[in-house]
Amino acid sequence: MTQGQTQSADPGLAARRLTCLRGERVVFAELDFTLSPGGALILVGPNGSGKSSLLRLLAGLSRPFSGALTWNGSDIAQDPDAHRARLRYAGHQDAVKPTLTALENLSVWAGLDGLDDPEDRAGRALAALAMDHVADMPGRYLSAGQKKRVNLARLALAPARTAPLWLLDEPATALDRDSIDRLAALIAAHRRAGGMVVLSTHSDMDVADAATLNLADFGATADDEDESQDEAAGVPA
Amino acid sequence: MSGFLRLLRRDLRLALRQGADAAMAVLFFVLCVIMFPFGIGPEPGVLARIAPGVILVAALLASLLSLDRLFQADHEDGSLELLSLSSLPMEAVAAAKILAHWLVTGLPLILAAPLLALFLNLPTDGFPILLLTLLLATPLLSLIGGIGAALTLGARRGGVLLPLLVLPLYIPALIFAAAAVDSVLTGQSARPHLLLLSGLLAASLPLSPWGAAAALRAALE
Repeated sequence: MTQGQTQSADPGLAARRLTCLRGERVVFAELDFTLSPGGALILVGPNGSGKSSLLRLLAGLSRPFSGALTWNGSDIAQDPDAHRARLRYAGHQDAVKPTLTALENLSVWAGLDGLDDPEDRAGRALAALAMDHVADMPGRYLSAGQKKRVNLARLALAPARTAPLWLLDEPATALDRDSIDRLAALIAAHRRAGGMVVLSTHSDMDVADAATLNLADFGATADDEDESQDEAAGVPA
Repeated sequence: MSGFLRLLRRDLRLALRQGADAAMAVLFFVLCVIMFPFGIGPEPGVLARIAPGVILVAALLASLLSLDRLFQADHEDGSLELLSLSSLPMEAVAAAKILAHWLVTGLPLILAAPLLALFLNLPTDGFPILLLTLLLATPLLSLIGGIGAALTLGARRGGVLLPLLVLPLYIPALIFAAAAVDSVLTGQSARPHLLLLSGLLAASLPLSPWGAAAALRAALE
């Protein structure tokens, strides 16, 4: 459903021969994938295999060393504003301000995305992740999992047609079982509405018929690996 | 409401809830100026002579005090990343945050300045021109400082690097601002100094958010 289509005119997101460097080290090379509307792609691989780097590339937060990312066949680098508008990125940091309440935190983002009635939307989005009971609690009193849920509630702010591409970097971290199920339901609803999800995970999240991309398969060759380990060993702790 | 105003309102709300930041800048300003009579001696003539310079230098240092947090808090908690992905251009993000910095630290300094001028025995005909130069100079401090704060973002010991980077750039503003007050006190026209100061402000208004935005983008890469 999500992989195996190579024509560039396909709707959705496609990566062609993507190579990512960190410093002088190749994180992954010659990576290809396609993601069609309604699809999901799960990134797996050991620590340091480039899951977060790939998500940042897809978000346009960094640029690939070589290769291209296309949306509906056109390079995303040609219209970064349009790409930013269509994606929602949730990284490792939750961007929750300690002095603002959960609702205020979320309505700021709703407002900055140019959505109407930001407070209303934020309230409904918090409810989608069962966070409405702490809506008026300042960010500093929220637990790690609750902060994560406030951050993930940004996904529920806009309909899938406004922001079809979700990029989630280990969204299940710090979440309890019920919250993971709610997130999975959110993802399923998003995909039913034609949205796309790319997420990295270590734990088993229930994402129906999703394609899996193991970044270890695209890693540096064995020689490079040894070299980088030598370098790492040479750095004083 | 535009994204610019929303971000400005968020930053002002954060500053008000934390409160301490704005109060700290003003207290530092007051204490800094009060140190001078102790160090130099309470001769009214000497104090009146140095008053404009002392107040301007103290204002400059007070505005520097909270500058390293300008983008850092948002950088550390991931907000800056999300802001860079929002529909708001990075230049507008930088401009909104710089304006918030001026409203929170610059404006209270202007309000506290008459009291300090009184302490230092500044002649009363120097008061209006002192406030006017502060009104032109303090936004300049936030604007120039904004570029420095963005450039030192993510740098190790950025808090020390920032004053080293920014203080030399403050010199022109300091020269013209102090000269404007001095010229009124010696019975000359302050107009040329005020025009130069306004010129500096007019140049940094568009250039500073633009430069800061470029530095922020580099910091996020």
